[in-house]
Amino acid sequence: MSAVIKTLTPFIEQDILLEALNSLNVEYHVNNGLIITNRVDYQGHQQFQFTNGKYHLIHDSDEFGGRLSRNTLNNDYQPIKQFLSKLEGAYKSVYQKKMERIAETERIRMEEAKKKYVQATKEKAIAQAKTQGYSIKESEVNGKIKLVLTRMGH
Amino acid sequence: MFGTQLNYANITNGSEIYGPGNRYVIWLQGCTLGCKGCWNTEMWPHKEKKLIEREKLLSDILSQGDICGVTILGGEPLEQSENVLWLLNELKTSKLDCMLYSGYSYQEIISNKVYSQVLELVDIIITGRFVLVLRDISLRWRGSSNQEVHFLTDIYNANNFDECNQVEIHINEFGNINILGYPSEELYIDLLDDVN
Repeated sequence: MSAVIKTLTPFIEQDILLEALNSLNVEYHVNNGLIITNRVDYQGHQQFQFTNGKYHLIHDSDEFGGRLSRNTLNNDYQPIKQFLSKLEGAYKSVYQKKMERIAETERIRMEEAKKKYVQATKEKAIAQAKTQGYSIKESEVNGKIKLVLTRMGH
Repeated sequence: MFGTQLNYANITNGSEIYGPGNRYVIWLQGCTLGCKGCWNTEMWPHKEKKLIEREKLLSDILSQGDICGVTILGGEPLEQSENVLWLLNELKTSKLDCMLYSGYSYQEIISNKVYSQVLELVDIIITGRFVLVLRDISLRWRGSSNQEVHFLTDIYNANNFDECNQVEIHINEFGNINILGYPSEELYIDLLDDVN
């Protein structure tokens, strides 16, 4: 039995994330770098916090509060997984549209930021794998990086 | 269930840890075996996940230039046996080798008239339930020590088969990470700590 684990597209650019939230009709306000949304769970308002080069959604770790809100106060509450999946789609769409309309210098800056994030992600993964005794084979196909980690067994 | 369409959860073109060489790998959706400790419980329901017409899947596979084979896993591939057998039959005439993972034991497959047809069509089959108490990530291509590797043709054999733990990480241009294979708990936690 093997794992198939997929992570979300990292939300790197604040203005794109805000536009993506707009497109999903999620209300928010920005305060001290936090994007505080109108999505409410047991711990209060869910909010995006910028750490390690991208925005993370801070929310109650179970959906208890979400279910409570949905059932009593907010019939439109979407579970976290569903919400983030929609937000990911919206983020990518806004990103592509922005890339088509912005000036060359801004486009280069955004591309560079993305590349920098990808590079940092790759380096961290390699460092962690090495620490655990894996040998690593790296290749790049169609702009995607592939790392094959191998650790000899018996 | 879906006519000539396959219900699938994931396709990765260019994986090197599910069989020999660089492969086209298809995770089919739906499994009724329900092994305790399964990583892929999201692949258990047989309800529609992603559908692909089998002709289109075949055409996509054959259009790839840099693969040596195809691997089908899941979910439980034999629970979509009609379309899987069709696909494997079509691939038989190509230069690609085929490998299949099944949670059914070799004996269960042999004793089933439909499932046993797969043994004529694949070069390698991995058989057996995932058994949590027998979990062993140092095994190549398997997750627990009861699972068996059967080399069914002379394309590959056990002589060059070294046991090892393998994990594959794909990072796309946006920085999304896909982790495939058999990560140790420490590696899995480390990687997700950084990416989540």
